[in-house]
Amino acid sequence: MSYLIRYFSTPAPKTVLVFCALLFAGTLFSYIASPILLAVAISMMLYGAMSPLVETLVRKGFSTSKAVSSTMGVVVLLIIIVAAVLLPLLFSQFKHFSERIENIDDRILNLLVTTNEWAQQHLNLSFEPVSLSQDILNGMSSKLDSVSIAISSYFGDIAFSLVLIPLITFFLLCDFRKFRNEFMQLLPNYHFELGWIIYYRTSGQLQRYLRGIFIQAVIIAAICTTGFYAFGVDYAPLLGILVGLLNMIPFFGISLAKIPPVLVVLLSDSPDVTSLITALVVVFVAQFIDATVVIPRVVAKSANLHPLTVMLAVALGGYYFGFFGLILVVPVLFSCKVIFTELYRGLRRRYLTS
Amino acid sequence: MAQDPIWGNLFRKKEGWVSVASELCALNPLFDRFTPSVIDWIVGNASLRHFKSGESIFRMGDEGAGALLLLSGQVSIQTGGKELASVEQGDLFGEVALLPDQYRTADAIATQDCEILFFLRSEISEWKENHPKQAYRLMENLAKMLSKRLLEKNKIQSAACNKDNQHL
Repeated sequence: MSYLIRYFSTPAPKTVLVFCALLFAGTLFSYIASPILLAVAISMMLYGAMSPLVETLVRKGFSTSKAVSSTMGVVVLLIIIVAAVLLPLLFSQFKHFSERIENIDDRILNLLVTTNEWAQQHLNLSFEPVSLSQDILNGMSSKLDSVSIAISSYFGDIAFSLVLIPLITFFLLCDFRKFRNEFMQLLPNYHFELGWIIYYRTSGQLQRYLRGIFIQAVIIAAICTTGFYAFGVDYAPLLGILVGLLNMIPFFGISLAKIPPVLVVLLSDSPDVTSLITALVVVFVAQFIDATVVIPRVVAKSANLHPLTVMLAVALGGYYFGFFGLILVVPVLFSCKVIFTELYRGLRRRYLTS
Repeated sequence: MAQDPIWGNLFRKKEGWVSVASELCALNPLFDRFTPSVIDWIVGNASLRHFKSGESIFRMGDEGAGALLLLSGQVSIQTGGKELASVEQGDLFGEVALLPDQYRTADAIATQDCEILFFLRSEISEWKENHPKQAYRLMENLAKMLSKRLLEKNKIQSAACNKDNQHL
């Protein structure tokens, strides 16, 4: 027994023990708060995005309440304007696209017949277009059913959250500091300073990363929308936003982002290789600018994780928590890494100096 | 906005230590040339902790999260079990940790039950970003305090050297 106590007072096992306790508490909280977790997560992101503006206004002499109210007012107004301008356009494009998907069987069959003819002429290869198109349609219909259920459940969640998000964001902007300080007061004296150091480092990195990927998504969406417009690809704004969102997914996003433009070109009235290459070039250019300019400046330093860890975590995050799991799994993972490293560093230093 | 958010009551009741702490801060060289409203804001965002007699407040080599102000009680500053100084009510200590990545240079142990106010670096850093002119003043005051301490230490060391030379 005394051996066990001595063993668990050494830094490594103690760190694992404390970390596991924290992880358990976090998981329990996530489970209990699961109905409003999405609203809380989005509110936290909005808080991170809006707090610099509130701080700037406070610096200019506004009171906190006035700074928060005016920031929230401007943001809500912007959302309403953007929604009023963009949503009808997006909905009409989405409706048009859905109508096209209704006669997808003819389009796929035509595409396969054309491809078969081309393959016979140039490569001396041939296949059975009718049975192949039937196989593809069967596979797609089962996948689309599950996707549509998932999408409708997401929209249900988001609609419920739309009521909560502005309220939670408002109170976070007003009182987050006080709430956080009161929460940190729960720490025992012995771990009080260490707790603050861990919080400070983790939150700093998390804020930088989330701000980074948000800027990244906006830049990619803007470049793609402009590019698709310029080269006459259908549904430019819808596709641009979709590519921007998909590009936020770590590791897999770079490949996933190319699927929507390819699909749109293939399902257009006159699918041709030039349009396909043009659409892909637009995405490539956006991703090149992202990789050379945006990522090194705003994202890279925050998430110092091994590619295999990211790949596995993203796969599991997507499997268990859907689209938001895909995006949020990396910040959660590197937050865990920072907490564990700082906890170990602090406890080890104490152990060595005691 | 709200001074007292609804969830605040869940954790602990508010105490009237802010005005006492503000008065003590106004007398401290770190807050020299600061207006009472600024001091009130800094104190209002600091964290109050209670320590029992004999409890360790921080240890040499620990990474510091901020400066501490003793509101009540007594604290002993030690290295290797030898007392270097005794901290009384209104004294500020551990202020080196207001600078990033600084480690505690001595042990601090409560010799009586204490109330200690933590001016956390994370809070001060956020405040510094929003108030650069006042932040410059705070850093200037901190530099003055540290240089004064260095001068005192040099005097003690030179006095000890002189004593040694006289013995020889």
